[in-house]
Amino acid sequence: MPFHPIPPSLEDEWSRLAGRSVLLENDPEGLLSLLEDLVRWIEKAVAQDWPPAGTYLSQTLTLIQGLKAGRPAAPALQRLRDLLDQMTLGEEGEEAPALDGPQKSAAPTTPGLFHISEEELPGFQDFMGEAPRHLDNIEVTLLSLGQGADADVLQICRPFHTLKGICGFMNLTGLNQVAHKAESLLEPYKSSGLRMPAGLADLLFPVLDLFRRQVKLIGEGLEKRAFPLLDNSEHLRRLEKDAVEAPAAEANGVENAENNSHQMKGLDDRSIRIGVEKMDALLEAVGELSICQTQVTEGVLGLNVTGILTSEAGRLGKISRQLRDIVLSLRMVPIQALLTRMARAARDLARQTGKEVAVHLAGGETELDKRLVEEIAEPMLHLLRNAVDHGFEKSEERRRVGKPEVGQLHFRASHQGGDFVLEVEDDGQGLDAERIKSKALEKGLLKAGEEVTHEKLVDLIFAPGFSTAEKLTDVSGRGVGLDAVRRKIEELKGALRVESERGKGCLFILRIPLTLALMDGILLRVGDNRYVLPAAQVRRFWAFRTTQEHELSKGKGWIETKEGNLPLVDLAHWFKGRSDRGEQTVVVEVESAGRVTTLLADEILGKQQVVIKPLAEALGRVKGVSGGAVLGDGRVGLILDVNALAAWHEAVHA
Amino acid sequence: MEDRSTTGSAKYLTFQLAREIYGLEILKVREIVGLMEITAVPQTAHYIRGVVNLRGKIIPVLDLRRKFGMDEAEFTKQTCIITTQIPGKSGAILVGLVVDMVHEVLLVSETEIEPVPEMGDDLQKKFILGLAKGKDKVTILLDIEKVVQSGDLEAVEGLEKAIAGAV
Repeated sequence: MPFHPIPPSLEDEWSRLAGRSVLLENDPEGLLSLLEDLVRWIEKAVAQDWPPAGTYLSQTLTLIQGLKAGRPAAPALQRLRDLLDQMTLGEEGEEAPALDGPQKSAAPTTPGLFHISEEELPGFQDFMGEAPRHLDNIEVTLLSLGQGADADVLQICRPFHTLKGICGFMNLTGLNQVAHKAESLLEPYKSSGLRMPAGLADLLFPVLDLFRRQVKLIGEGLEKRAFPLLDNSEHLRRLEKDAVEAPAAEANGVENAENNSHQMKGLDDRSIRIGVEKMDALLEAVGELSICQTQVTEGVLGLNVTGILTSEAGRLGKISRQLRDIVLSLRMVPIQALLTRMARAARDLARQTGKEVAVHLAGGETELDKRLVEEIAEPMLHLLRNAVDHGFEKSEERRRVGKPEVGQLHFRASHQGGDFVLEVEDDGQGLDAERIKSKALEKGLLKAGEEVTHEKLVDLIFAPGFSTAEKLTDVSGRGVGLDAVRRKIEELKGALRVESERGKGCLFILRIPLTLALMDGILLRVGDNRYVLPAAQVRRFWAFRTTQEHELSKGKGWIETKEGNLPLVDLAHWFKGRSDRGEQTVVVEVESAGRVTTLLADEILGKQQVVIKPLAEALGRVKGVSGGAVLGDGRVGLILDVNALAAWHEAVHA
Repeated sequence: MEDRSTTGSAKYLTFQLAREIYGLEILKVREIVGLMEITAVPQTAHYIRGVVNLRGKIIPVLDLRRKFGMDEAEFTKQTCIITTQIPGKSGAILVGLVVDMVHEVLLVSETEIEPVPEMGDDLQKKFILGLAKGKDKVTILLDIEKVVQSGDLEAVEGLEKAIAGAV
């Protein structure tokens, strides 16, 4: 396709139009996105010498001028919408821009490979950043609709409309058509204020899936500049069919929309998208700055002078802390979108396993580092699978034991003492000690006659390859789930606790630091070396005299506590470091993924916020160390991998 | 500004270890920093001194004396760390080298480089690009990538042994 530059005068008009649309900050009717769509289309049409482009442009400008002059917005808006529809689908008798193919009949597109051209690449990159947000918005509303709540039709319509526009613009005709159909399906509720039936959610979820799968494929194909197009014919047919069977009228219900739109506001604010690399570089620089600042300030204070130097050093510290907090907050996103995805997954899983489950979400506004949100998605999914598949009984069984038929699954997110805490609670049957024991015996994870405490039970369900599922299902039973959870939590320097009551249910409490960049660490001294323990994993510590009763060498790695014998890892022994240990040592009780271990160190140096860094690549993996941290004095401290230490202890003392 | 006679020649950063002078291709040198506090990393090869924080990046530091099997020496004011940049599995990696003292930047033309004589042990030979003969001294030109990469392998092996021994 030859590239036609936009004539300068048109370009002027266009940029003025774009500029104006940005000025419309309060955007109750989605005017902004509508204008954006229009502007994109006109730009493209002009670039392709599509004759009607000029007409549309002038019509659009007239409308906007009308709006500016204070004419009633509603009719102008409707006119704008019509215009856009005409453009995206091509007016009757007129050929739409050649590349954009969609015809009024909306013929299903054949699946094939889509090649991304050089010019299109930035567009697709934007699309990847933008589309998930709209899909999330649709999903939130569909979910509440699916659970029988009232939902605002505009909350679904608007994102679909935007997606339709973008897809048309990107030549994703298949998605464009599906979005158009979905929008038409919703149209009656929009104009009439009728309440949407819950069944609509079942109809639109597959559409959402189609979009998600396609978006994923595009994301994966960006590098190769090509991605497979998904077949949309089935979706078109379904939507077509149901659109004909005109939705049953369920009057009333729009009032509640107010609530929802309030909830959604946080998700759709005006924003700037910044690449992750830039954010990481910024954070790195700020981390360095704060270390440097600490040292400068200490140096200045050491000079013992008064006056400007000292006061400014104090100010420097304040500003650099402020800067760090701001940068960290930039990376924070609300957990809502992830919770919604989990609720959705739980719903699908319950259906697959023939169970009835109601999902309750709380604390969706709780913020977490974006990378961590991505990182915890998988462990959350495993916990959820575990709850739905193992936890909940079937309805008949629940009835029999006198529980409500519908299982209740709660996701609660919150901030607690500088950590992010997520609770996953079910009211199912709880951990089945007998079954876990017999499975563990079978697999040789447990010796006959061994006492099984709650801790041991929890440890067993997290063991690699462990599963009590009788047969492999799609859902679980492969015995990789909870093991993967444990490893992931360790990697994120977090902790996981499990509470369970037979017959009453199970509660998983996941606790991770708010960000991967900074961590509250407990500094230990072992000989000449300093090590860092993630504060989230430390339960308590106490002074310990080595001369007393224990000889702390190989074969005697246990310590008596009120809670029974706990494994004791002598860090000096493990790291083969010199230890000028006197009689006084300290025992630190740590917990990781339900496993409690104690560590023997020379001294606790204090608690400190440290900047987490990957350990040098050239060193490979160092066992017992999960990463490096830059300490307040600029030196490197090694972060202990509690899980690996516990596993090592187990291997030695088995 | 370089004149034509420099074609076919390269610049080397020279440094001293015990009595010997060694050279590193200057293009692989990132910077020279004074000695700083090194954090020991347990269960790595003995010639890996540990890691340092180089302006926000954690980089490993190799002790070349230990690597080449020389006697250990006390650190002096002149001891410093040369940071080199070598290709790694995912992009360039930085590795620091502890040396006794840094000398100068030396321009060596290809014609001046002589092969390593057939003597000495093979282990050391594989790290050496050649010998640059000056008026009164010989500079040993190091293939720093080989030094570090072989170190990498040995470090991993050493680590495995250490772990096996500990269990």
